[in-house]
Amino acid sequence: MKSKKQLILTYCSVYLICLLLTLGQAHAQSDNNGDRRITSSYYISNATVIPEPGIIHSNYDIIFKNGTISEIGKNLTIPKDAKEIKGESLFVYPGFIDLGNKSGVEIPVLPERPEDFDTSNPIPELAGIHPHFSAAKHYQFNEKIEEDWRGLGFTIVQKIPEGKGMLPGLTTLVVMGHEGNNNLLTENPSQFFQFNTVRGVYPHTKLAVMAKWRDLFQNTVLYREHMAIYAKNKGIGRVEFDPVLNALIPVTQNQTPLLIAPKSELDTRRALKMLEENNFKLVLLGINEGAELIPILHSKKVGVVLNLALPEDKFSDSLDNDEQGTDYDARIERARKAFLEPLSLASKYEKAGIPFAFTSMDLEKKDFYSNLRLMIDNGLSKDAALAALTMNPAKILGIENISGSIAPGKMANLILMTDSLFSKDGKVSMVVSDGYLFDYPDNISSGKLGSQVWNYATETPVGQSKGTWEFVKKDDKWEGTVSYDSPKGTGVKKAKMENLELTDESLSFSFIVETNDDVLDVTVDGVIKKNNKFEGSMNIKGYTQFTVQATKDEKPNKDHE
Amino acid sequence: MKRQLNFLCNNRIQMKKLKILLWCCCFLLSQGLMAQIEGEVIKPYKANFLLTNAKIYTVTNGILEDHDLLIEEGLIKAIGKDIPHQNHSVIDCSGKSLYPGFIDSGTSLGIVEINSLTETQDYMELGKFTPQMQALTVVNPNGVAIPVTRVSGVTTVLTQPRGGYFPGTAALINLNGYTPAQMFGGFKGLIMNFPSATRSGSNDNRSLEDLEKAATKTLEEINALWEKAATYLAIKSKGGDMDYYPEMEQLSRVLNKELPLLIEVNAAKDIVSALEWIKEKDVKVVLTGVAEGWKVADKIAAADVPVITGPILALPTRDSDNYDAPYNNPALLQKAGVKVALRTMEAENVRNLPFNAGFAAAYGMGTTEALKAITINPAEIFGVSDKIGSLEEGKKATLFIADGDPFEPKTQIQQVFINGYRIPMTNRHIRLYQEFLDREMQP
Amino acid sequence: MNKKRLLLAGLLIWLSAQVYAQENHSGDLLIKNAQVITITNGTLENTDVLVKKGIITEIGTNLKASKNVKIVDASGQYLMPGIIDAHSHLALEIINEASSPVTSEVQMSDVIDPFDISIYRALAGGTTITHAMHGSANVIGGQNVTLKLRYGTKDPNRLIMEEAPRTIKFALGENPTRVHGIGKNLQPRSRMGVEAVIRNGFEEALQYKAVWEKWNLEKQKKEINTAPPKFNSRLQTLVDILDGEIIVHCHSYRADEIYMLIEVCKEYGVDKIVFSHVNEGFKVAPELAKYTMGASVFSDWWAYKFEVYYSTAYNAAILTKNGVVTSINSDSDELVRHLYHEAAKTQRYGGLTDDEALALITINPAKQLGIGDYVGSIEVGKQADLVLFDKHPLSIYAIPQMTWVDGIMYFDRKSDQDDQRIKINIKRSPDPFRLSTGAHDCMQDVEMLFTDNYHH
Repeated sequence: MKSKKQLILTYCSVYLICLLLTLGQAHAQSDNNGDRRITSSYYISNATVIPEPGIIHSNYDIIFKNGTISEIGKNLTIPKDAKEIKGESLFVYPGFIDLGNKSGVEIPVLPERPEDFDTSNPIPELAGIHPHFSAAKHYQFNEKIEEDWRGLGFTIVQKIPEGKGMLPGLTTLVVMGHEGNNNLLTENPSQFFQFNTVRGVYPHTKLAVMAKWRDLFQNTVLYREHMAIYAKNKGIGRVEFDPVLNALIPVTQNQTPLLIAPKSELDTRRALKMLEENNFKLVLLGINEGAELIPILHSKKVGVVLNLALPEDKFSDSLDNDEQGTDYDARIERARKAFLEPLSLASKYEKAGIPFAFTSMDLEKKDFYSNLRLMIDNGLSKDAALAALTMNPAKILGIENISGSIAPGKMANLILMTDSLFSKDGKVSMVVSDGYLFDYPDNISSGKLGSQVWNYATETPVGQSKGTWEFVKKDDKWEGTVSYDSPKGTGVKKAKMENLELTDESLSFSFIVETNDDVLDVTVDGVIKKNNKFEGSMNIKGYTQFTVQATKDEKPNKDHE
Repeated sequence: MKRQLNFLCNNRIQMKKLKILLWCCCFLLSQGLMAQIEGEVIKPYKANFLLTNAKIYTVTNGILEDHDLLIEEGLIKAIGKDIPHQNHSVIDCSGKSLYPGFIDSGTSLGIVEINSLTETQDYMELGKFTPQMQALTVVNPNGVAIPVTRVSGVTTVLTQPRGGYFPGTAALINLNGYTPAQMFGGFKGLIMNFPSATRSGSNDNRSLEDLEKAATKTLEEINALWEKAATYLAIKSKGGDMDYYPEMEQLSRVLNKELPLLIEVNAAKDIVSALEWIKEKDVKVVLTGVAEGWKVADKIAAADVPVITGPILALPTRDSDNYDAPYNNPALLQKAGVKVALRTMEAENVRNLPFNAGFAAAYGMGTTEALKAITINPAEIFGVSDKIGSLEEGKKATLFIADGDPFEPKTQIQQVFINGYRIPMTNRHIRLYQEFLDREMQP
Repeated sequence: MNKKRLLLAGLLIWLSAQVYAQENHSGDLLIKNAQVITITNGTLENTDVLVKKGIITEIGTNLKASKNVKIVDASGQYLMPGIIDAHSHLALEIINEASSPVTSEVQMSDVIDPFDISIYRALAGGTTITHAMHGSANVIGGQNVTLKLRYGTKDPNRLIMEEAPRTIKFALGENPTRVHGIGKNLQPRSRMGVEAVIRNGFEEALQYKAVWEKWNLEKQKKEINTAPPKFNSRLQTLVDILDGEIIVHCHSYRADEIYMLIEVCKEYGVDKIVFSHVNEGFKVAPELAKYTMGASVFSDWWAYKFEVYYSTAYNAAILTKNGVVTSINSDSDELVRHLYHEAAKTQRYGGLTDDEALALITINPAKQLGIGDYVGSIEVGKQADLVLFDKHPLSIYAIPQMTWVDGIMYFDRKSDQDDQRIKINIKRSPDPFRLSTGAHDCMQDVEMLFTDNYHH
């Protein structure tokens, strides 16, 4: 048994080494830009803390140091070296984990095609088969790219390797920490697979992807067998090193999961077929259809990662087309329903008791919270949504000991929000990632600065007409849309504003309304008063003029964008 | 021993041969065909024919049982009972039926030989405004598909160019003759492809607005061409000096009603736009294609525009459509009051026209109306109903003898006449059959 | 906890199985008083057909069924076996893996598309089985799959006809020489090269087989003296062809190339071969009769490319009369809807009898697909794939009224509804306008390798 002294010594030396590692080699320069932080020890006071889904602590404190949470509780003793973050009115959540995203990952440089290139038999790298490549080698942390994603709350991200073909390489797990640090958490957590191909060479379609996969799997098994035989008996031929098969060994041995990205329900079924034929750990990345597959995925213990991107309904615009036969409306309605289905997929997984995670792979940043809210509106519980962004992905990645919730010993990955998560007013005000603080002041004010919604009403001879004016600032210029009741009686229509001028005191614009037999040119002009009221007139060219009143909506409702 | 075996073998082969020969004979008899004698020349010939005791489907005057039909000088001289014969070649048609030659109102027959070989695709010229291109000029009277087609009873087809806004001028041709002029059937029409504002193909994700914009832009271009042609026509009619401008010259013939305009349009919405577009244009118009005509049949009927539609054996235009929408289309148009003619849009397989008509008949049109849609209706649409389209005295002797309902595949077409020419009932398909049914050299 | 989860999973699987069972009913059926066109045993007047669990159990008069069995009164109507299409690309997401002249390893069963609306349209035309084939871009294409058109399922595997033996696509002539020779500067560039590619494949397969046999023997005896060979499913499939486990269905047109492949097959002992399209088959009909499992032809297609210029619509008749097992195929989502009419054309072009003409789309294609013992005629013990017509199916006026697969009704004209799509693909325009071009599918998915617009 070691003495206490010895133990302390050991601790000290470890600490010193750590210190050296953090500070890097001394290069006899101070921080002449003033970038360095004063302390790595922080203390969040009196916040509402949600350490994991379903648990809420009011007036809680959190202490973290050197990137690790050290204490969580009420009325904690503040360490002397800690900087205080005032938590009153803030909600603190564990940082989100994204199971798949490509930002910052570079396309690997591939060998040149030789002059006598045989498209039917290319070298694996030119066929998009490079499982031996690793995103870790092609990922460069870039604050400019990552800060927006982090601003949504993401603190740990699985980076997907770039590549056009079926096996682009290994993923890598990174923390959205400080730019100057090495933020790699796990080098090669999963092998990525997609049904895509380079096209023009073998494999050219999904047909050959499936066949190629079978061959690769079998040959990996044989490759291992060859190694085993050779180890015993040098008399047989040596094992010629094959980087592709070598990289697939951990997959065939059930160690590294195969992360398959299905683009459709049929792709998902194809992945299940692969699993039936050969045994490996399967994680499906980016599912957004096929609810009837839930029981099968459940029984086969498939890791499920849903897609945060939701399909856009591009087709309800066809509704006012009256020349398409009698059952046209029913058909359009069917199409519209099909667009709604993916919105409730997450809730179906929740009800089936399958812990799932999310990927932002196909997501546009601006849609993150609105899409989550859409899923919640369609039956997903807020707790399940939070779990899908925190605990579940941590478990799927096998990093639940260091992430996925707020607890002592876990990484200091936190989201500080102005209101509860998924509420309309909840905005990310700060993200703590790897113990570093990142402020997002714009998030909080952008709603007011960047967009406005007004509700207007006008008295016409045929009754009151109501609608909204929506303004969005793009590149310092206002753009607007006006909604109005369609004169054809086919519901609410929207039109783009022309000649828009919006200042603090006045507003004017024009737009066009189509009626059954005419095109109306409408102009709105008036003044904005101190109490966010508008008074002015609406002029229909060649016809008449009405008065218009409007009130500014204090909180623009993002859901209705 | 060996010899005996050999003999047995031979005997077996001979038995088989005999069997096949028997088959062959049966076939030839049923077809009213004679095996070709070596050195014999087979070609169409003109004479005075008396077809006796036939069931005559006049189309315009009902069905005449047990009547004779007299062909002289290429015309139907008389239809009646017991017509006396002098110097006539008599063909006994007891138990047989006579029909007017069928008309396919949209094909590329004669202007393409092998569609995959661009060298033989004479139906398309470069440029989007090429109205002066003449399909009739490039009709190959010796195209292999022509005799293959006419033995099916299809005697007359509209053959038409494609591509661009105004691909050129289509021509009605009879399927017999040694020069295009001899084949010309008396009608020409200018083809126009109406711009579409409909999503076409599953990769077309354009918004409704973008679709409208694209269609409007194209229509504006067409309108500009139209305006130019109007100016051209105005100056020309005043006797003004004109530069050579063959495109405008040809388009202006539509404006002064010399040439009808055949507007190709298929999606329901586009059909409505086309009807709108022609409202202010004082020209002769036929709508062609009209695949979704059933959705707007009333509007087409109200506009009083005839329609050429087909192929009937086609897939529905939308995934959500009923499986039989294309089969029903002609019937629904006809019942709404539209004058309907049918087409195959084929080249080498125009011979399927009667089967397309048969499907239209089965799916609501009935045989009488379906027959009209490939005889008198197109003849009227093309303004040649004084010559073809029905069996009436004074019309061209363009007709055929069948041993039953010509829409039924089982029925054999036994003799075809085009403008009084007796057409040899053979072609390369039949000759190959005759040679190979019983191949002399066995494996 | 774990146990609970397992229970839940089991429950869910059971529930989903229940849904299937409900969807598909029982496969029990009694059809009364039909004109039963048996194909193999003439036409039986006013006859009943009893079906239990998807199998025809009785054919006769005054048959009785137990309660709850659906009874169809077919008085005056014609019942025939479900139509079988021996050459189709229906219900496939992808058709060609055109990247190599030999792709025997690829399997069409990997790309079945159960959502294809054409399946329903084919059922509405009386077709119940299609041979879902690889395209014709490669000399040796992929392994095909025989489908039963059980429309309504979302599970691609449910469409597979389990009893059907393996088949593979070969292709001769213009398509492979154009794609690989002209398109990519790879052999074959000519019909000579086509033969060479096949022979190379067979020879390599023989070597491959020998290597594996040696290794397996060593392994069995536990005397391993060599490294394990590489697994190659491409060559393994060719080995399976040589071992007679796979029926070759060869896209072909000209007599010379048909004859070539017959000779090569004779040399390698391959006797399970069917020629497809085979427009000039009539020229080598005696050879086809003697050495092959038959020919699957178009009713009347010709002249769309040079190698079909010297064709005749009398092909099926000549082949039939020369004793070749002949079928008529569609190769098209349009034609597959009226194969009964395509078969009828052989009565105009060659005067086939009703039985001969209907055999072309029932028992003959069944034989060519190796499923003649299960389907293709109305016989006791066969699967109840049936179609009911209001008139004789060879009449132009005949309209299919009902279609059954395994005794389950998948189409009923009386209750046919608009919009039979199972799924709306939200990633694409949901219901675009599409004009059927008469184009055929054999050369789909070769666009990257070969851009000219060729079909069949």
